[in-house]
Amino acid sequence: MRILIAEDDFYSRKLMLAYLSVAGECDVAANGQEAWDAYLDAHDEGKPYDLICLDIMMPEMDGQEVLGKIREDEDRRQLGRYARAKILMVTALDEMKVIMSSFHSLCDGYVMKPLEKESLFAKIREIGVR
Amino acid sequence: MAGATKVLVIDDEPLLRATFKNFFEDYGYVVLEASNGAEGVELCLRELPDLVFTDLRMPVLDGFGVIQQLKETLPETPLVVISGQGTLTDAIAAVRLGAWDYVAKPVLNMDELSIVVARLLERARLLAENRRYREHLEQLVAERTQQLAEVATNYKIIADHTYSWEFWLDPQGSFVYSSPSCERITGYGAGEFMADPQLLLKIIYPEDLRLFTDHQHGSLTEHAAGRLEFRITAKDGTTRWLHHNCRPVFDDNGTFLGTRGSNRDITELKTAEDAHRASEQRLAAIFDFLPDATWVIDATGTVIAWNKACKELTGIPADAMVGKGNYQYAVPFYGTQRPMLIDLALNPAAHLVEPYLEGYLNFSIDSGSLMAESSTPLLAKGRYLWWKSTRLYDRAGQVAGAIESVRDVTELRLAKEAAVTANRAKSAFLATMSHELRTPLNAIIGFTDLIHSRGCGEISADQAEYLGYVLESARHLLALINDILDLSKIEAGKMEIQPTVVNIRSLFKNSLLIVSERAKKHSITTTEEIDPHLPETMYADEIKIKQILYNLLSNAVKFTPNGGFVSLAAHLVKPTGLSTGQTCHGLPDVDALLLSVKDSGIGIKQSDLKRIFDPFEQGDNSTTRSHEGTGLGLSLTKMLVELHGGKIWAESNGIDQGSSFHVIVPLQMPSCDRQPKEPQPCES
Repeated sequence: MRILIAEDDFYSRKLMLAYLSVAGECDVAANGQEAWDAYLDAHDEGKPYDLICLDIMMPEMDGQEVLGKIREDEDRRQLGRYARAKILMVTALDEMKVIMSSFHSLCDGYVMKPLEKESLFAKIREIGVR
Repeated sequence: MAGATKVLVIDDEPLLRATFKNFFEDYGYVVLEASNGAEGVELCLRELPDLVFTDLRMPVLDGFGVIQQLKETLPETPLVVISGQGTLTDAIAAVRLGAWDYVAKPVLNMDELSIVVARLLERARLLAENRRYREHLEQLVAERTQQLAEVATNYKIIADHTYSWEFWLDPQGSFVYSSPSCERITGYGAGEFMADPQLLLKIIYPEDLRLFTDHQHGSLTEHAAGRLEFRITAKDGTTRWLHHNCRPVFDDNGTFLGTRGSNRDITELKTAEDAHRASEQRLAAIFDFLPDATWVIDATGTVIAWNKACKELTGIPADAMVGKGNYQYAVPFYGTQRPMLIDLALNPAAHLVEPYLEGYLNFSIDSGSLMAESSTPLLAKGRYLWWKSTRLYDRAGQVAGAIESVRDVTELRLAKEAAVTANRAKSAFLATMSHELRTPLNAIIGFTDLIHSRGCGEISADQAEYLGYVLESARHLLALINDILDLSKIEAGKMEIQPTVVNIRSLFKNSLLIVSERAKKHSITTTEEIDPHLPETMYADEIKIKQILYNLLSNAVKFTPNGGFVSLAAHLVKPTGLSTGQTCHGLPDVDALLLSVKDSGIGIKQSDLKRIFDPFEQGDNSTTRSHEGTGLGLSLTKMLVELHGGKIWAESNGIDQGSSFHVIVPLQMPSCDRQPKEPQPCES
């Protein structure tokens, strides 16, 4: 399984990596632009990501924008339901409202900081990542 | 003279009598005869003849006696003496006595006699006529005299009973007449004024004397009419105000007769006037004292008052503005004569003024007063003004004018804006800080959790315990940060209520579920009770209601010792007959949900029941350390309840007696979109 972790904070990125490296092959992106590039590269390599964790507040391009672009791109590629990446939004409490309102339908789920192992993996299982 | 003319002939000579008789009877006269004086007088008094002839020398009573007697009794009867030849002296004496004429004996020329008779009769007639005329005149004079006396009496009554002090001064200025009413006014009688021409000057106030003498001089030398008011000291020492009014009087020939006039006692009027003036002065002082620039217009739009603050604001003094109309008062504010708020107050025909209202903000009407704000007047560029105007009525309830006040609220406005900006900056700062604080905390909690849960190899029991402490402290810090963020959001007015249709029963179940694990750990029994009358759903912000419930329940569990109980109850509260009415006044008049969380915990001191809702307060500060929590939970809860238009209060019987918290929130959020939205999934 290929996992992309997009997180601008170094330690949070490290943490995600520590949590998720047991679950698969992890790549990291320090901002939205990197995440978007990584997503495209993975498709070019023919090995797209199975799980993408997007932090919402990121420089260059924020998580919501990346989410929108990925879904748009997947639509263009006419990917089926199971071929699409599972996207988990990583939010702080005060960003909940944004998620709930506009990007609710585009993502598969969201986890709230601070991340704890148990709740993270419960959510990953819930959204159907094997 | 009715009937035939009667002629009496008194003579002792029958022949002469016969001669006269013959002669006069030829003229148609009646002739009476007497042979002596006494007989003649008697006959004369009885028959009243028109003409008497008498001889002088007769027995019994001679001619002179006849003349004397008849002169007294019948003076108008012509008496002619018949005198003998050579007795002219007698005849003259008789005429002196009162005889009208004489004829000499022998009477030979009868024609001459007839002329004499005709002349005498004519004379008698004239004499009688003259007498009657005189009598008539005398009667007329008597009547006139009586009339005049009556008129004079009336005038005297009028003059003596005038209310004002009526007077007439001669050309030298002395009293010709002074009505007795002067005594009522001055205490001095009319006689005193008549006797002492200087008396009036003596009692006039020294300050007013010059005024009076100037006037008096004018009226006496130039015959000018005039009026003036002056003060006198009355006999009793009191001050009286007199209104003096006089005119020169002339007779028909234009001769100056002095001045006529009256002095009216106007002391009461003056006193009232003084009181009125004092009141006006007081009002003017009050008006000038007002810190707000204020002016008043009458019903025609003319400025009638312009206070000191107006002058200070506009630089225009009151005397330059009072009396001006035609929107002159707008010039200092707008540079042009245009209607202002005061004109709208005076005449609510809005279409006249409406075009000018554009510059005003926050226009409002409160019990007849118009209020508005504006920021673009010429007078104060960049200043912010607050205007208030209202209509004024007279005692009859008619519109008498309007008043307008303007207050420079620039400082207030700037302070407000600064406060808003500062608050916004504070909120932004807090949001950023919270995020910045949370990010490293996420890493701390995450990595600690990772190691603690043996995510990177085995650790010792001690290590696990200590990492547990790190984790617990970090979580506490995080909760603190989150609560601070929430509080600052609410205080900044940024927390919005997003009402949805909420299923009350599942909300309950979920809320209890959250605390049930912890309760179980401490052997705390949890119960729930739901009023069957409650509807299935309510319309509220589900996350926030859940947060309220969670805060109350977790508090209850937290402060309840092992083996205690926590209960959650929900009741429907109708607008009338609130079961706990005394504590939840001020609620909207609608159906409401009453949530009660009871515990058997440590309780709250009576004195702390209110304080516990303040930030960083727990029931007893000494307990803070033994009970986890940020100290912000209840104040946050209170704010969330109030955001819903609800109320929260606590009850407790005291320490260790348990406590109960009650929340009452309307079942329908007031003044919000009633359209139900799909319930949204919520992760909290």
